[in-house]
Amino acid sequence: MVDFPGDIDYIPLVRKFFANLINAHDFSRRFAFRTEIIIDELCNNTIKFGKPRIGESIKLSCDIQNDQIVLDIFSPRSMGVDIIKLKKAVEEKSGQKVAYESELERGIHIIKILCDDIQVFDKDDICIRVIKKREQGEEFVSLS
Amino acid sequence: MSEALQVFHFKGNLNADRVHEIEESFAGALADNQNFIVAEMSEVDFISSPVLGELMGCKRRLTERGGNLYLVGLNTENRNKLRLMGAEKIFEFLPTIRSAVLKYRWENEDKGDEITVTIPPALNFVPEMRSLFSGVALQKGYSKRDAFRIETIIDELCNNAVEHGARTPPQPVQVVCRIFRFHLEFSIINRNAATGGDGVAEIQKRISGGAPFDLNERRGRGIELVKMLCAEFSVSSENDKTIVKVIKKKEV
Repeated sequence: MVDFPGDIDYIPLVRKFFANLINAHDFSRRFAFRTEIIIDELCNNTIKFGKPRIGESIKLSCDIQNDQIVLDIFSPRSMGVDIIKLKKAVEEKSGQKVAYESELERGIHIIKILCDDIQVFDKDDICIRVIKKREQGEEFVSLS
Repeated sequence: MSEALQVFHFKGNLNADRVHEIEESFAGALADNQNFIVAEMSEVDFISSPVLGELMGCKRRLTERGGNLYLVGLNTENRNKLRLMGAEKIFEFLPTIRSAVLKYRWENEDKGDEITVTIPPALNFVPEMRSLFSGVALQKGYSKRDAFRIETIIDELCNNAVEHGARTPPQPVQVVCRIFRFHLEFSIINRNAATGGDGVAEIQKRISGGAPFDLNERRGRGIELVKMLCAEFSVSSENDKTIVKVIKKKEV
């Protein structure tokens, strides 16, 4: 779990941290790279659309399992996340013709292409959960 | 948004005939003792060289008064043109007003940023942890030498936290980093009821120089290494938590 300020300057460091960790846990370079893109989208959207107040932080956790990873990004309720719009963008089926009017919809669409499942939880904090399963038939190549 | 910052939104073509208008805006801000100005340029199509000259003059006047001028939201074309003219040596190009506010706070309020990382007690997480924090230091203007020293400190303390933390059930290791302009504070927290107050007191005695260090000893070299690399170093216990605190000053 990484808890970092809502400042875009930290995103490259955070996404690289998780990508390297995933790669070090025998996931392929391709898998790690795709996860990095997902993390980048999630964090940028949280800062852009969540509008965290100065000093508010963003929490990102990554559960690395044998056959999949589970990413959870939490935005405090005090942030101005439009939960209805977010849920609508997430629930839109991939085959459905969507206008992708907004950056949020485009960002969610990119994540949907790269992951196996995406869900929104609306409890204490707002949480977006992304599940990405291990890709079959890919050799593990270290990033380092 | 900080009250100390005044934002000017510019639109359209900033041709030579708009120099006077821009000059008057800046002069008004200076007369009101506003020393930090944000020029928001996301709707600007063109910046002429007389306008760039006016922006440079304003930046100089503000710098003389201890202030700054931030250029925000430039489109790719304008940014490239300004770079070709060497303006990036004078101005910092920031993507959003929010970035300018954060920049202002970082440079003037020194409240610091906090990053917390929690990892499972496994040694293979440590290399990425130390790279993350050295990256944070570099990002915030610390030198490569500082970053390398920070990496060494984190490596040493996290390896110890993993090694001495409770195994059954496995307890996470947490690193809290507060980074300021001229120093960093790290707290490395693990859980192990077995370490207890006596163990912590023994380590603290060694840190404060109360117990002499024998170079031939296999244990305790890490403590000496961290002591050499940081300004302050202490260890304490709280319930079943062991908390190691380190302060590393920026080398200038």
